[in-house]
Amino acid sequence: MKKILLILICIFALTGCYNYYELDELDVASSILVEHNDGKYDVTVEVYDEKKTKTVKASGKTLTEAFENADRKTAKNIYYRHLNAILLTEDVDIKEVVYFFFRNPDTNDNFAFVYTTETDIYTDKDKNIGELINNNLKQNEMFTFFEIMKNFTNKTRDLTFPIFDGKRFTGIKTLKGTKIIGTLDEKEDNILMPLINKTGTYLDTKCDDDERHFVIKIDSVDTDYKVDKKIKVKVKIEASLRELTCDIDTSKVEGLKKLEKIANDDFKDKVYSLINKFKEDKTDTLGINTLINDKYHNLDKRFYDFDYEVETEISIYKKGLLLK
Amino acid sequence: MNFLSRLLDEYVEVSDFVVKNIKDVYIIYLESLADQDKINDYILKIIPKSFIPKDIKKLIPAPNVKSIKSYKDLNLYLNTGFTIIINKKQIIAVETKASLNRSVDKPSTEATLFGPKDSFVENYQTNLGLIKRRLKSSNLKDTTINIGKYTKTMCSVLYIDGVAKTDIVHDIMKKLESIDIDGVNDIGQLKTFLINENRNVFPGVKITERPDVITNALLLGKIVLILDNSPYALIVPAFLADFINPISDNYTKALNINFLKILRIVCFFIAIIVPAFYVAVTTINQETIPTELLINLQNQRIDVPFPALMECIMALLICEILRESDIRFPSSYGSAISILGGLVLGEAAVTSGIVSPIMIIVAAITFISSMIFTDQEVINGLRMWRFLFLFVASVFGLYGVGLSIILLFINLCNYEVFNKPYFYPVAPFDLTYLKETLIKSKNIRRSRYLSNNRIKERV
Repeated sequence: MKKILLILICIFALTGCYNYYELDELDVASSILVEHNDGKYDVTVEVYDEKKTKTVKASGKTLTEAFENADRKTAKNIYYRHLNAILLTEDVDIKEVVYFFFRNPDTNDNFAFVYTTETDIYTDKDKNIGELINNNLKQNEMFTFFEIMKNFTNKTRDLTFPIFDGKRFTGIKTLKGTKIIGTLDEKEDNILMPLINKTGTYLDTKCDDDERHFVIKIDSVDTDYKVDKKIKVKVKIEASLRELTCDIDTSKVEGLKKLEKIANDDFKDKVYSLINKFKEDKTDTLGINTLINDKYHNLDKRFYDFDYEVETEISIYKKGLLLK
Repeated sequence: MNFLSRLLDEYVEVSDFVVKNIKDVYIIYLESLADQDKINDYILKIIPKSFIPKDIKKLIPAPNVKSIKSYKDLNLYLNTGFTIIINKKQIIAVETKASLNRSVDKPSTEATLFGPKDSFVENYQTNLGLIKRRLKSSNLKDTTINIGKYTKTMCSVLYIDGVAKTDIVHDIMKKLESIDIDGVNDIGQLKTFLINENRNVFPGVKITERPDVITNALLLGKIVLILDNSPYALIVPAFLADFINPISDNYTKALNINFLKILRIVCFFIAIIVPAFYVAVTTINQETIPTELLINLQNQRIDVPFPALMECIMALLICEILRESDIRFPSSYGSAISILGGLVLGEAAVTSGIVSPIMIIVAAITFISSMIFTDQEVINGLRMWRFLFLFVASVFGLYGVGLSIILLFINLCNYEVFNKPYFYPVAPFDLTYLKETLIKSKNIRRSRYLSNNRIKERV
């Protein structure tokens, strides 16, 4: 009995409960906008306010000071473990922000790092920007903090941040280290996704010169890279036909084969073009340097020193109930 | 006449003590315990008309007549409703017990949909009869012992010879013989003498009012204790798994009942963990729940002035008070208590902002889960662990819940009832007894811990 009493006294008298917060003492952060103006960091924290949102703005010479000030401005503690996104503007030193969150243990690891072109994004209190970003990027863990942290520390591939214009995603920023190098538009983004084994994107392909086109959705993808004298990229896609304005009869096997060939050729061209863009920018978004290093154990050889051979195979397995 | 004068001395201020002298034959009985008709038929109608032989036993047409050698026996028989006849040097006791019993009724605490509907009453003989009616074998042994300096209550230890392990029987008898107490009213009082209750909050012996449960236990090799004046019987030893399964499982299809058996195990843990889990995730580990749920919980707690732990303790205590008052109150008031507690108090507590609606759900889930178990001692044990989990979780969060679960398992694995592991058949693992308790499946063998005679069904 004495032992039990002693244990109980120890439990309740000697422990700290440093992370004890009642729910009503918390302001749950949904997203953070980080800006850098006149040598100061301006942070805007979007927090849940019952079914709406509210924002807390603060600035400081350092990020720590800015977040401290934000915390002081609210009666509650800002809670960052349900964070959906961090939005960075052009002037912000990405390295500093990324490092800040690497060191901060009081966050979750599945929020997205997003590049924003617009700073006035929290005007509508009924709209939760953090959840909007999270819902749109849910399928793609490539932009999550954990994935960024993993790639950044292991140097497996160069970082990419999606571009958010306050309403929707308009493309991707490619980085070399922590420096923004280039921009991919939405169409290039749709080509990039299957190259990193992500499904769910749409390929829009013209079938003749009369602006007629067809759209396929990538349902399954298997992309394989082989490093040899050339780098061989083999992409195998299973897709479903979503839209068709071309004069091709898909009820017949020949028609479907023709459609697949057009899609295949077009996709291959676009892949070559995208790889060339990466080579020009010297951004290893596809993570090929790791493969080269694994094969040759030689850090002198880089992905842009190689020629590429792309092999694509698109098969349309679902075309709906339409006869044509 | 030594005994007579001693009786007259001792029973001076006993109002129902009757002594009649007919033809120098003394007829002594306690009016309140004896049946007047039986005394008339067996004794008073015979003795005045007859020649009194030397051995008066031959004259008495009663079915149960005993010769008395000592004053102690005389006293015992007199106080159990026998009529004492003293004829010169011969003393006999004639059974003239009045029927002070209620009839065999339906089980009140262990009701089931299927299976027998009879239950024990306060009469020892009736209870023994209910068991013997099911076990028609001379192998069913019952060793009796009187317990209590004043009450002299008859206690019987039942077991099936050749099935039960005799070492447990000897152990029980030894413990019963060593009891030196003024009196016992109910079999529940014997529990403390049989096992060390301070080592675990869960019960080590099972109390039941159903004869079919007793029969089943005896056939498994367990030992049963019945006590006069108690409508319950004790099953020894009892493991935790025994309390999770009602006897009605045996009367239902295995495929269907196994789902319920798993559900009961889940409920066992729900009844302990849920309040602790709620406090842990709302105060320390908020990151573990989805954002939508967190915001929902936060919105519910906005008007609540108390910390989650206090809120939780208050809700649980209110439930405990309600349950206790529901048990104590006459059944006709039961519905009023339910309405007052469940509807008025619950609704008012939420409206006034003392507790949050989710807390009412947490308390309700906890209580409903604990109500699955019919044994009051199990419910009490669950309560103790629930509060321990709650306090540890409020300090250490989910880590504390994990620690408490380990502590619970250590405690259960460490506990022994009559040198048998309490967490059996889980630890040590035994498929034979597992099929008997936690899972319903074809089982032809008895547990090695309970019987040396392993085969119970021949296929």
